[in-house]
Amino acid sequence: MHCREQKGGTFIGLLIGICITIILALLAGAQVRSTNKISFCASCHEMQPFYKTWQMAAHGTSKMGVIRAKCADCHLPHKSFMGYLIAKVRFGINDYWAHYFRKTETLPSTWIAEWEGTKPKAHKGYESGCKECHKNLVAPNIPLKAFKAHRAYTLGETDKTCISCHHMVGHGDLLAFMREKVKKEKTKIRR
Amino acid sequence: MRVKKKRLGISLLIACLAVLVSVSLWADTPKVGYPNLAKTKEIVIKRGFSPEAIKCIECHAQKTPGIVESWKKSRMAHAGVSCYDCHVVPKSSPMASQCEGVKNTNIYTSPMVSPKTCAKCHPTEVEQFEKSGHARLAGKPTEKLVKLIYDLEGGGFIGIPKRDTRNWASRAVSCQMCHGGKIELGPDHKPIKNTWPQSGIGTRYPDGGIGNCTVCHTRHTFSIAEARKPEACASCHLGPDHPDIEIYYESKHGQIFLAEGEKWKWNSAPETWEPGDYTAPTCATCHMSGIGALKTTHNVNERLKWDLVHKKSVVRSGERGDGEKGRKLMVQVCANCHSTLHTQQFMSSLDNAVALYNTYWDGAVKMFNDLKAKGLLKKDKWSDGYQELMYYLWHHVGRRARHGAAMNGPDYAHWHGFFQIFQVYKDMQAIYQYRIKHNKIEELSTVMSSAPY
Repeated sequence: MHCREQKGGTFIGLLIGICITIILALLAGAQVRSTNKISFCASCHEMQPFYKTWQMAAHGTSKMGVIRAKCADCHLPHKSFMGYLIAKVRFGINDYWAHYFRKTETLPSTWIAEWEGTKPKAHKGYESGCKECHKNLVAPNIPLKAFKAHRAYTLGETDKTCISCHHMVGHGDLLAFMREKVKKEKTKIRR
Repeated sequence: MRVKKKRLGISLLIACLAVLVSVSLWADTPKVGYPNLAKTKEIVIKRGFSPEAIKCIECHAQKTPGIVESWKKSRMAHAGVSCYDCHVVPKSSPMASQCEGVKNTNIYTSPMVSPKTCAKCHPTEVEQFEKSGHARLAGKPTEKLVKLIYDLEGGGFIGIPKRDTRNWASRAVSCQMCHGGKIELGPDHKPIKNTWPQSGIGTRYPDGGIGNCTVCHTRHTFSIAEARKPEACASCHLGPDHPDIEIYYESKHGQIFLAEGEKWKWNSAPETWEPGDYTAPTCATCHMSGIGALKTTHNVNERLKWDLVHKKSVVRSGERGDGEKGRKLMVQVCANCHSTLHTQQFMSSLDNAVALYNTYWDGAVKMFNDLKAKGLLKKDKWSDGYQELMYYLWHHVGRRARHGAAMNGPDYAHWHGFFQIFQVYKDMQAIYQYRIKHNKIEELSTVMSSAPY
């Protein structure tokens, strides 16, 4: 009898455990989805310049008319699911930390210094992200010049990545935008 | 009545002639545009290019027809690469400015195009090029030889001040035209006087790009055939200090090129230009082109053993290449046309000539060190006979002997080379002995001309 009760307890415990795990997993999954939304990324004021420039650039306007590349499509690695999740958690914590404790590092002037080459570049888009959509670089009907340009890359003859050449697709001329922003802020202070 | 008829005939004839002459004159006079240009081109393109690119082409066909004409004949045009692809830069580029045609638009252009732009489509070529002596190393002299360029050649020592444009003249018209210099920008982001235009192979661009592809693939045709011809190299590799084109023309390779080159096939696709397309090699064939099992390289140092440029010839290492590997690669090039024995014997006579030159140089250094220890050298080496001759020993006559030996130009190896080396050396010995004997330096430089050419 005693033994039977124990067995029943284990069964109920396992059942509840599984249910809680499923609920938590679903919740986490929902969180992964909701925190991948553009509106979520753009909800911090630090991200506003990146949001605005994205809207104006090729990936935001979707000139070709089909798909818009969202923040997480480019700024998270897409090689493996675990790698994706780990990077997401890591960058998520990093961004929260920066928002509250490292404010100077999110200022436009800091970004400008980085892009002008006076500071080392840290964060980039991931090539695995590009390849999620741009699967066939040498697709039928591409212009001849694009065929030639992608030849060395396709043959693996060069270390250059997608954004070595296509650095404007995500945010257009981000450096020019930030410079304008700093200029405007300065004139505001003077007034 | 008869007279009247005759008159009528004559006047009719005159009237006809007058009409014909005036019509043809009218047809001959240009009706629009720019009278001082050869002709005004109206190019109207309906397909293959974006509207912005078409605007550039159509406007420049009117304003700079020569450029558009060269481009039109190029492989770039066939591939759909136009003005827009190379000359448009982001607004934040240090070189960004706006020409009349794009004023008040969001398009920014640059008259300068650095290898970084070329690398977008030709990454392999640019990466190889950047590792070669043609990129950063070639541009070094304009960075380092400040005293020579401004204080001496620029007339600093005769009182021309540093801010005077004359002080920059020598750099602008000579040094940077082969070696390449730093392009400096004005507040309008356009290049300032004396730093651009330049045709130096080690040009340093404001966007960080180093090199200049158009030295050998001249804009705006960017021809592969041109770069394969020896004349492409000859804009710099000539003259008293490294008469490479002269040596080539004298060599058997060059003689065959001069005699038969017109019939050769110059525009084969990359990696397919092989013996048969030509009956003798050009500079490019041996130093760069794909041949046999070897792949094309834009690193001109790759197939070289010796450094035949500097004071003492050493086997290349470090940033100047890998000499031992270089020799093996060059032997592989030779093997396409020559027997193993032929190549080995030729290379051993080159090594021997280098050893002879190095012995002269070591002797010169020994005497130099002795004079230095005894305080018998002038501070200004350009008014000191011994030091001047020592410069010509390696930089002019020594290089002529070495390059002549390496590329089979016996006249340069001999008359302009070793024949002069021994005389220069004897003069140096005489100056050395005089100074040691009298324990003083001659008042006047014993070298009165600019060079024992």
